[in-house]
Amino acid sequence: MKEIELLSLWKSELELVSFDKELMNLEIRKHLKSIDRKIIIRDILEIAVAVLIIPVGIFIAYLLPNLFIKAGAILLIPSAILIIYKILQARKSKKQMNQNESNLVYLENNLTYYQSQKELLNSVIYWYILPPALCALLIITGLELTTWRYLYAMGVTIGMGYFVDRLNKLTVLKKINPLIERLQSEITELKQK
Amino acid sequence: MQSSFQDIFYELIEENKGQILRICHAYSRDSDEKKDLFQEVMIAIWKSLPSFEGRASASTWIYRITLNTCMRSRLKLDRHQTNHIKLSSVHFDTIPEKGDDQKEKQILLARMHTCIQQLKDTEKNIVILFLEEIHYKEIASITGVTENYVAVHMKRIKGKLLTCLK
Repeated sequence: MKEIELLSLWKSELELVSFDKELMNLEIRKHLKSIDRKIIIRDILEIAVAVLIIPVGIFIAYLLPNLFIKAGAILLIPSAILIIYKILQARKSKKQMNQNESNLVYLENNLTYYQSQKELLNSVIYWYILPPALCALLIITGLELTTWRYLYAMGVTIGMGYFVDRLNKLTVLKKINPLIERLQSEITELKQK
Repeated sequence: MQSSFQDIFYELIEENKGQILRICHAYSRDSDEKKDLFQEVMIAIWKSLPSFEGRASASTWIYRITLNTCMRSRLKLDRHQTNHIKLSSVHFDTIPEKGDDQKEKQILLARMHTCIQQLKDTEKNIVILFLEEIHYKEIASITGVTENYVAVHMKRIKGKLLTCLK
């Protein structure tokens, strides 16, 4: 096949597109509005639990006299603040990527985004698991349970933490790392002279 | 009279719909994906329109958004979670087949797209822009590489495509 035939073949797309102008404007506005609404609801849901923990922590610390429970409940407050801070920080890095940049800049922005996601998920143990788990362990200790119940509650807390950590590490391994590798290889190739 | 936002958008889409559809086709596995991608590009253009300063030509700007949106569809963490946009105001019509010539063309076009899909995204973008008959300088500006890079790699990429089509 010759180059000229290639060019002509490329332009022989067998489908035509037509639009209903007025309806299209309305539909796009409606679509974007519904996306905005979904984002707001997701944002509220994501931090709602962490926000709710703060008054609960204050209430428990005020109500229960046991020192371990009081310490655990008070420590729940900075733990919740840390989680809210991390979620808000992660959201900031996800700010809309400018799609009218050149392909290379766009790929680099995507790489930065996925690298920050990887870092965030890999450090879940330090900001999402350990602080609330330590609070839970203090509260469990203060509950003065029988040995078996105590061990059971500790086991469940540690097990849940381990499960959440593994889940996040698996996401990094199976989904984020291949994307990062792919982006790096494409960027390297584009940067070759 | 100054054109409204909607008028500018409509004009841009109307003038460039052919190339947008061809690029979406090159990035899709099937017709449904192509239509979804086309509508995703439309939304991306709408969202980017306030930042369109007219410094670059409109078609360069459209090519950038289209290629970035198509690449982005492959870079999502969960590709099954893509937004399936269905705008009832956008109609896709297949041109009816007329004789064996068109049937043959259809088969060749499908083969061409299969070959393009086998290329890496970076190669794919360059060859797509070449097929759109864009100058090397503009290809370099759209992709973010140097003109020299385009010139050096073009021969190899074209060779790959032609070999695949043999």
